Amino acid sequence: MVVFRKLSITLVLVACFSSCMENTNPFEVVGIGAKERDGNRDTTQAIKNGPATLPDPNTGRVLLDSPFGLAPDFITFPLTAAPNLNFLLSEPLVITENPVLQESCEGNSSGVGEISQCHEVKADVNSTPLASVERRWGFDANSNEFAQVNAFYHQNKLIKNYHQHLLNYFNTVAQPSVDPSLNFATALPANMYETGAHFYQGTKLKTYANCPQPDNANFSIADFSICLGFSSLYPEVKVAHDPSVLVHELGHTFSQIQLNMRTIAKTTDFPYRSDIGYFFYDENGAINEGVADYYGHSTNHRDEAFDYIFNSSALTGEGGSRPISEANSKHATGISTDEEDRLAYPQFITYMPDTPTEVIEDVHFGGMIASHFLVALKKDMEDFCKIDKDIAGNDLINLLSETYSYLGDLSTTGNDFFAEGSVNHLKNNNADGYPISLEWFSKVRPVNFKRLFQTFSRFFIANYSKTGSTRCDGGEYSKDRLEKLLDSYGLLLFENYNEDGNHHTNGHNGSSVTVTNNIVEKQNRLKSIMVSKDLLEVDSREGKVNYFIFDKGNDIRQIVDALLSSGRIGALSEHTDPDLKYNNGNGFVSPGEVVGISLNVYNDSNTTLGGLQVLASDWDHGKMEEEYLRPCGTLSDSWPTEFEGGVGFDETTTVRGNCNHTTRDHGLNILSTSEASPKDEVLSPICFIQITEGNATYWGSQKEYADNIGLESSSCLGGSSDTNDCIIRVIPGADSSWHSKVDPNSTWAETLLDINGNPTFGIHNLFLLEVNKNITPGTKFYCRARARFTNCKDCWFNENEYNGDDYLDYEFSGEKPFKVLGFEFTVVD
Amino acid sequence: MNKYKKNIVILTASFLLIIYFLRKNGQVISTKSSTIIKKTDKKGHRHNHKAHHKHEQDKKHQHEKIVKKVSHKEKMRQEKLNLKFEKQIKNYKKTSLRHLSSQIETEITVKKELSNKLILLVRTVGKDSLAQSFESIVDKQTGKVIINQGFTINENARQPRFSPSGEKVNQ
Repeated sequence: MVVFRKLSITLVLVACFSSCMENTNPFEVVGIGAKERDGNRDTTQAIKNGPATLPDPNTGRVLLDSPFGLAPDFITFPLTAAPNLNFLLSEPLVITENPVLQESCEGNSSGVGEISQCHEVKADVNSTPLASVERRWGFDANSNEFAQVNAFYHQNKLIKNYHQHLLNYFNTVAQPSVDPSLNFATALPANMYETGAHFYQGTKLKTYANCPQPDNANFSIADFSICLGFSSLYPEVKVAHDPSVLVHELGHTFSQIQLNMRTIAKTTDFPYRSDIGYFFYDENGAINEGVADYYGHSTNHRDEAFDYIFNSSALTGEGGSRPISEANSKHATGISTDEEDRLAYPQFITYMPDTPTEVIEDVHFGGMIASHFLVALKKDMEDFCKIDKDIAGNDLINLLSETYSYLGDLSTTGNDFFAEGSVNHLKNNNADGYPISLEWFSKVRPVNFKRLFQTFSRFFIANYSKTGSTRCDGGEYSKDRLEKLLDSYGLLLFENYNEDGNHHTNGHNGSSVTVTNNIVEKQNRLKSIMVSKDLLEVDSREGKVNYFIFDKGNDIRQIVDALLSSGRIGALSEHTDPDLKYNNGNGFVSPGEVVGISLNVYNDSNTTLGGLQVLASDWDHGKMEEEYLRPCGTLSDSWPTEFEGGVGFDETTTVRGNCNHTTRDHGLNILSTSEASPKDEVLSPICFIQITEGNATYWGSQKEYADNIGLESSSCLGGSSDTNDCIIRVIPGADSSWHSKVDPNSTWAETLLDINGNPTFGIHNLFLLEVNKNITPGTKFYCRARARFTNCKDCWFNENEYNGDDYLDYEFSGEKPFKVLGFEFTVVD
Repeated sequence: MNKYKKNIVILTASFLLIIYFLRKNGQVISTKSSTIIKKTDKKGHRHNHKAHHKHEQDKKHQHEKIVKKVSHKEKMRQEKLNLKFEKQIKNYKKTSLRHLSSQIETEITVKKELSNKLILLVRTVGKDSLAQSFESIVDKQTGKVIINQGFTINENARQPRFSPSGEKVNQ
């Protein structure tokens, strides 16, 4: 009997083995391709993953890495079909003790700030979180349920890790309750845990693991959710199978949390938040893509972002992965980790590794400079300082927390001991009813490659370079070493570390007893070349145009839809036709139209300019005289003359309201002044209008024109409460254009050429004007936009003033940090 | 029986005795792992497993009930809030989304009520199925937009590109 049973078992095993062998290759095809993955799993059998196969409650099996990272060595890539994931499963692991895929987040050491429902994973926006079966998380690895469990496991692991390191840093290094003069000026708020600011005011993060978005993943800030889509080429392949993409999205999430730590902790009844990007292309958004890629590296320590689903090396026909270190083989020839061969700003801001001869203006590619720098710094900390790779990775994340917490602070203090107005100007509402600090952060003084790496470096040297530090192999990581590394990426774009902030009265106290500005060693700057803004101009070469107009009906329809559906603009004027029927595509500015303008800005230097931004929002370039706004004629552009309507020529003293005075509070006139009877400062829209009275013509305000032609104020584009831009209005939210780079002695339109040699304009390259339909054709306008760029030597500071200390925030209401670019047009029917 | 055989008998008897007592106490020696695993008697085990399974099912159903209840409660709260500010939402659509083409689907809910403002959550789905969302901070009385924020970060959203319809040199 016993012999018979033994024989039966053997026969069954043999039968099973031979049938299983048919499926020993989890990847139905064997392709060719480079093998860069470092993980592999020597599995030859599919694992059954039902609840009955899990001995312990609360456990489940997951993919510990992406299928690309886990694949056995005998598989070559790229694949042409979705693999069977049951071959790649881990041993049983604890997923959660909760009956659904939901987890809490820890608070501080005393339990303050614990968030009971901190994050969850569900199938999609309409589902409830997945529940366990028999208290186990066992599901077939190719099922939708498994995708949720897998995403949850990695999400929970990363969030826990992030919070543990943040808390340790908060308690032992930052210590926000300690006076900065005894430690350093941390940007972390002391009441971070009490207010839930360590996780977006305790907002629950929802991750949708079966999101119906093909070839996409996104982070929705408003919904505070992550959507993990699927491959349209291989629908069984889900983003949720690839931890590298999830970690990237969580990187965006952490950045958004960090940006708002101080705002949440230091304000009440204040719904405004800083965002990680505002335009379809801007440097804030580009840097954050790089930062999100860095989160991936800090987790898997690989040199490439997006391991599997968006990786052409893993799946044939897919694309989207990008290197995050020069060591990666996907880079073009000539790029290496040698100092001179690194991805330097701004030359590489439009670089695509797959097609290096082409250029693209895209935040994901533009962010590679940021990710490469962060990875290089982390590797240097490992090699030079002998710091463990995980510790180095997490240390830099803590410094990113500091950086973003400071830069995004809409409460405007930047540190618990600093005065309001130290960063992002003022928290009072502007004329449109939202905080000036938000206007500064999003547009006027936004995050760019200069500002972010200056702030990051400030926190880095406060941690690693201070005298007596033992964190780098028992010693300091010198400021010199950091500056040389920054310079190798073209990022040493500042003169000092601006520890004293940008307060309108205290912002240059950097050599006082309490605050000392660290100064950049000029000899360390070899590759970071900065250019004067004077070399920027509207193209005046013969046969060249000053600006491009976009007014075709279909184009404007697409632009308006893209801006409104994404929320980038809030509304158009009620007087603009809902069907945009006035848009005639004649290439002129016509009554009733919505028009896109892109200034043709020429770089008259021998250096590539990066991060060119043209601002078309209101600024301080006018003065109230005889109840009307008049253009100051005393600015650097010498427009208009006194006879043409310019004012300010008779000013002898610098007092509020004068052309020679820049508003300290963005035209609110709320800050106290010692002047006996101060006049009011008024912000002016960029465009003034030509007014004719008898035989005389002069440049005047739009309100004056409207009064002259008897136009009711209710017919003004901004309504009766906003008559200064009655006739031509720059649409709020579409009042700034971004241009990634401009080659030497070229314009942007000559730099960013497609494969056919033509410039292709994106929405971010334009600002939008609305034109009142009541305007008389033939009417002339003169507009003064302001431009500046990131690697500018006099747009952010003056090297000869205050040791190169940054300009104060209020100065960005005026002309000083900008090059004024004037352009004129006539309205044509 | 020689001495050697005697020893074998004693050892075997001792081993069997140990097995007997261990089994009696609900324990078994696993020769594979050499670990002692607690084992209940078969009858009791079946009974306990059933009870345990029932307990688990009850717990799960209880939790599902709670999740459903919370979700229902949240839905009710949301509906109440939307109803309370129906006029503002209508006005918001009329003013802010007036210029949005009808092919783009929109869904607006009140996310939060503040002292003099509302935070609306606006979801849109474009012609290309691209889903986006943002917060619109609006005046509590009129629903007029003050500022939008919280834009969606998409990893793969193709932005349209354009050619100018005119090029101008200053007159």
